[in-house]
Amino acid sequence: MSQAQALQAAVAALCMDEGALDAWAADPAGFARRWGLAGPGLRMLSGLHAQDVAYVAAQRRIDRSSQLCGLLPETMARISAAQARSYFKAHPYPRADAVQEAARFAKWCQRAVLDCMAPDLARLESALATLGRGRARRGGRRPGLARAVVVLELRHDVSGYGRGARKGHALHRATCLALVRTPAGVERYRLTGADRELALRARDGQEAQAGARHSGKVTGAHAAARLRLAAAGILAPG
Amino acid sequence: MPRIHPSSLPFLGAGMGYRRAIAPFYRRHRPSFFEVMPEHLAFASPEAARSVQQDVAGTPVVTHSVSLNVGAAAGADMAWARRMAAWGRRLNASWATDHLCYIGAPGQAIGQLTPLAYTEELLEVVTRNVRAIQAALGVPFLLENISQYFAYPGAMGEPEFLHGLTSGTGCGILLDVTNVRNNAANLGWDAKRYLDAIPLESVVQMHIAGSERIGGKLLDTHGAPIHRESWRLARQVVASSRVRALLIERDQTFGPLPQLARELEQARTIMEAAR
Repeated sequence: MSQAQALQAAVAALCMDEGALDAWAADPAGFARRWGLAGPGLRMLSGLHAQDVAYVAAQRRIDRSSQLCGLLPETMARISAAQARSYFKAHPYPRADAVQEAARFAKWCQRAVLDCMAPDLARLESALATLGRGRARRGGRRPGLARAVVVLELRHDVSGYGRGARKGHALHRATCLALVRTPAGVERYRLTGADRELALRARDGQEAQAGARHSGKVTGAHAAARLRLAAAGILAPG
Repeated sequence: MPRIHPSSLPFLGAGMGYRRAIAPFYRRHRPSFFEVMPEHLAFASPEAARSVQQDVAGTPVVTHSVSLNVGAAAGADMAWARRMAAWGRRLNASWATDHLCYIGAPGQAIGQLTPLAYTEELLEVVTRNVRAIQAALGVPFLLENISQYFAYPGAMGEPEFLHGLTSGTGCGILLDVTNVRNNAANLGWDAKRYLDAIPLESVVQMHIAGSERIGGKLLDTHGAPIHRESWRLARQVVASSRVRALLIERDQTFGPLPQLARELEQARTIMEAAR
């Protein structure tokens, strides 16, 4: 690795990785040497103004939060700044693709100790973003009803909670309800824990195998198709 | 490699960065040209991309990217350069632009325009990167100076680096006068001295935008009214260069729109002096 490459990699770490920033602040020259720098490169890195670099790092966290808010608004409304910071510490570098970054965040939500609804919401919102992206990449036509379809509400169905569920069973394992407004009226969908898989299968055109259950007698294929419409309605630009 | 001659390029006047949220504004106030971000097209739905193309049809276009990673010591993103070239052809773009910075190292996406440490070693690398990009794009290529929030001690100055790059590659400069103002405020640069030192003969286009003071620094937010100091710098550049285009960047907080219309008029007035 050239000195120019080493310097850029080290600066990237300072901008993005809080642990690296702390290590550099404690011993700038030692940090530079650990990144393979010597001579002018070492002096440049160790001579950076700490406050300026910390400012950039803080702005990057704000920018990453804003980007996640764009794709996962309901989830992020339930995530505290400290929780978001934990995610950034666990994953210092964002995925270049915003939808992939949202999917990784949703996966992290499943493991982190969060608001009981956030993990399900994250899965669902991430799936919607993935659906929108898949549709755009395939170059398919927007479904005719898409403009009129809106997800009104996402919430947990706690009606079955306590029956058949172990006491202490985390609420985030409960099913999630989506109220979707379509030209036919408001429809209600129950999304199982497999909702993300469902959405991905829907994207791949395997709706018939999808495992979601509508609260009535509608098949998984129907629910998946409706979800796709919702995704298009939510994500359609303009 | 011969230097770029701005006079050989079309005069585009006063334009705006195309943002779909204010498409009706464009129809009413008719910027002289649009700057379109290929990222907005490449990652949009086919319908949205078509809609952008329809909105800008009949108006000159230049492309402006944030993804080429021009200053990366490990090499620019040539796959993106080819995609950008394809969008440029579809839009019949007069030229293409990106930033003099890097946005990530291998395995380390930063997601932010990050300043370069201007060294002789990096000048050689960036010169190679720019030549490869130029070959892929097939249209004149300009590099924009970025807003910087830290500087590398002991590095060469940005003007010196720009001289080396423009003479070594024949690329042009997209001079963001608001970034000049921001850097003067944030890093203690002297804006007048900076403009005197850069190769003004290579400046083809200018950017102007609003920035906001956040956390003690001027942030390049593209979401506020344009400061009078930025307008003054733009007039200064017009008076001493052959600049072909001045573009207003506004990415958020679009209203009040009458104010945006006045800014477009002001940009038009400035560019009349450049014609």
